[in-house]
Amino acid sequence: MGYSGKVISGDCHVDIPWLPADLFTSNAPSHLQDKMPHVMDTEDGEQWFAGDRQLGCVGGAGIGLQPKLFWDPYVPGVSTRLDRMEEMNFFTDAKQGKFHPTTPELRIKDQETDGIKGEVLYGVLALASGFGSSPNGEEGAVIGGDEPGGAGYGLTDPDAILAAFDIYNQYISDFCKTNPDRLAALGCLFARDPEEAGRQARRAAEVGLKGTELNVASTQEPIYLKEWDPLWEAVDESGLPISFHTVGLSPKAPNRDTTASERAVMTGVALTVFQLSGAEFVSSIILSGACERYPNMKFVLGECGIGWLPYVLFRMDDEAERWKIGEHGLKMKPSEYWHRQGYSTFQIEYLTNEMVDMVGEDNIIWGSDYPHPDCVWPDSRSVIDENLGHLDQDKLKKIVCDNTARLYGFPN
Amino acid sequence: MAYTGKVISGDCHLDIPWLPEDLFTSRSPAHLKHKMPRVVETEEGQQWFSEDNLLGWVGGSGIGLRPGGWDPYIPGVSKRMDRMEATGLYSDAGKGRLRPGTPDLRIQDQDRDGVSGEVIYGVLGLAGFAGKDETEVASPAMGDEPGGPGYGLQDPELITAVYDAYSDWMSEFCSTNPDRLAGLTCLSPTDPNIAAAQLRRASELGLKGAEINVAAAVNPLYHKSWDVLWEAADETGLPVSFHTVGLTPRGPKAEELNDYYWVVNGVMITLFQLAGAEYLTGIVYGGALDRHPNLKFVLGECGIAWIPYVLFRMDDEYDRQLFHLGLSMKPSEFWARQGYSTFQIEHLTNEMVDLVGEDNIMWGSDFPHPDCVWPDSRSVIDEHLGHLDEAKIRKLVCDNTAKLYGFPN
Repeated sequence: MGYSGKVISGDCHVDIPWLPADLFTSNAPSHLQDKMPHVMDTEDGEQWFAGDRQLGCVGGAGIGLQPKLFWDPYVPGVSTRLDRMEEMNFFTDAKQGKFHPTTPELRIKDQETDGIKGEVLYGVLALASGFGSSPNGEEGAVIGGDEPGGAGYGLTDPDAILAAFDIYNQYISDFCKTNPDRLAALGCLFARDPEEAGRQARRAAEVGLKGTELNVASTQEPIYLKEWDPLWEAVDESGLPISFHTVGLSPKAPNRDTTASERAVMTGVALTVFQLSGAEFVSSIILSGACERYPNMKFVLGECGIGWLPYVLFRMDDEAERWKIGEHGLKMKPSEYWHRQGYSTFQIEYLTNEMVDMVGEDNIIWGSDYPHPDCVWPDSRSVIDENLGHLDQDKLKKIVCDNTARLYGFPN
Repeated sequence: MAYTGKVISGDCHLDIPWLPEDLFTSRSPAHLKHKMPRVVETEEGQQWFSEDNLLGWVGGSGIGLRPGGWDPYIPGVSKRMDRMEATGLYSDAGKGRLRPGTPDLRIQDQDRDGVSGEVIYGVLGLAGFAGKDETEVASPAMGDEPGGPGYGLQDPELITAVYDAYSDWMSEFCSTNPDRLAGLTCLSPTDPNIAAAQLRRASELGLKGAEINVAAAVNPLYHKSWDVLWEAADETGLPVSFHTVGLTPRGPKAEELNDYYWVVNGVMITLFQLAGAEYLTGIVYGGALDRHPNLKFVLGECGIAWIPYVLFRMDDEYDRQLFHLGLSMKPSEFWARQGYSTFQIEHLTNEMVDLVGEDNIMWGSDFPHPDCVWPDSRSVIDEHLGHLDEAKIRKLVCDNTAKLYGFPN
């Protein structure tokens, strides 16, 4: 059965491969110029750098086959979905300087090709160096998740990160103003200082951004610490939801050099468990009492998937009851905070009516993940029909349109 | 609706707090005897040590409030431990009655719980985690497996000797009630050849399965070096269990740990079983199940309801770009043919059971761990599974475990 209603994607992206080459250098204060991301010509083509750290290939796909080369170029035959994107000339156009994701009319055209009416845009959060271990970006680790985000990747200087995010936030706010009914962007928050992050969250609301995002892997402290209260307070007051996009788990890696086939397996493991870091985010934000203290704060588990949530909600309630965690700052069952304040996004999962009821039909947001290497663009409509078409129609419409529209203020 | 049929627990435990104090020293190679776990009288009470390495308290509950693992029971901390103590489990231990490690008392505790048999996991947690060091951020040890930074034995030869002694003893323990007790052998995590030999020996000793500590393993499960172990499992028919050892969420600074104690524990324990997702994907993608079609694996205490999500993810990622692995079936089909997972308390629906597979799910009480449901297994089953189709319940709480481990029907 084909769904013929409106679709809005609650999880899409703008990443460094698609940004104007002079975006950061032309807008940075002079004392930070040399630390800003910039494009250089190399033997491997045009690449983004900050200092001697490679940040991504211009127009890169993020296929993950080349260790230490982030957002590496598209190669035919590796991924069925990347091949499908290239059928739309997506990467070929990029080589000719036509960047679909950051050219307003091309992005809207790609929305049309996909049959969707709007997108929430996640940004360049991963430019900030990760904290500690992360499956991606570490020495010798597999790349393949969306977010480089490891300790060996990205900007390390706090002032440079702060400036880069401020510059991006202004840029993406201007970008969205070209089509305010179809583009809603998130502001990137500085993960190393809750006060600064709170300031950025308030500023995001002022410049017309529709939400914010925080890279949990690059925070210096877990998000259940009280130190984060200034940020939750800003989120609560601004009314802008805050997203914790998944950054993956850290599966075990072999203790020696790996073969190509072993790396393929490692990639498989890392990708399959990639979204489950959302379980840490949701249990941290709820069990910390942050949702109790800030009842207007909405949080989104970005690209964290859906099907595991009933399991974790049950676990939280059961463990809270067993260890009497309610005596430590919760007034409701953990799952009740989820239903009041939480959301999670997914691109391709076979959901049943029962699963939707358990997670909550108002708490689930579908997104195409465009233009990431594991996105479903330009086939969002058929993916929706195949995996969600059997749902009750009112549930389906909430998941692929209404929940996102309401949370981010898209016109109905 | 009350389920009145037979119940066999597919996931129970016997840990160091309950073992005879001379178990290891009396079964040790002479040159390792001085390192073998032994009981020492301390100011804190009777404690197990290997040299100066504290391994736990005799009769300890594993409440997790004190470092070292298997710390003593304290009333009022956990509702479920209070329930266990209502039967005198810990006060009996204080009087030297170590019920879980004494055959006739263990059978009495099965009867108290309305259970006709148990699969018994062993002392795997005595081997420390590989690659962890004590400078890592402190984290409380509240999961089942102490296993945290700085805990446990590190010397591979010693670990092998400890596991061998335990397996010998365990086979004698189970032979007292072979229809109701099925023990697993513990496998060396550092040498696949030794692990394979231990598994074959376990089969000869009459043990019913094997378990390996993935967190202490020298290589991930998908590594080809493990093929000798899979081959042994394939040939003997003994299932290999990967009991969860938890994930490692971020922790606060050590000096702040007390301020966030319950939150940290809540996060850790909520995520504890999800480590199974890594074991499942590792064993499937690595091709071990393709090369060894008779190999059965068990995700011990890894839970159930997240599995449909991961099965879908595996198939979808395989379709997208992991087809390069060249498996002969879809990833989820290997699970259906060769995989199992155990749980103690989850509210399952008929739909979930269908998605995971009614032949692939095993209930267990987790006795006598601090998060077990003993002695209330029957009421937990009725409350959380009572609405399932009768044939499904029976498979989950009895038949699947009976078939996999050879309990009489």
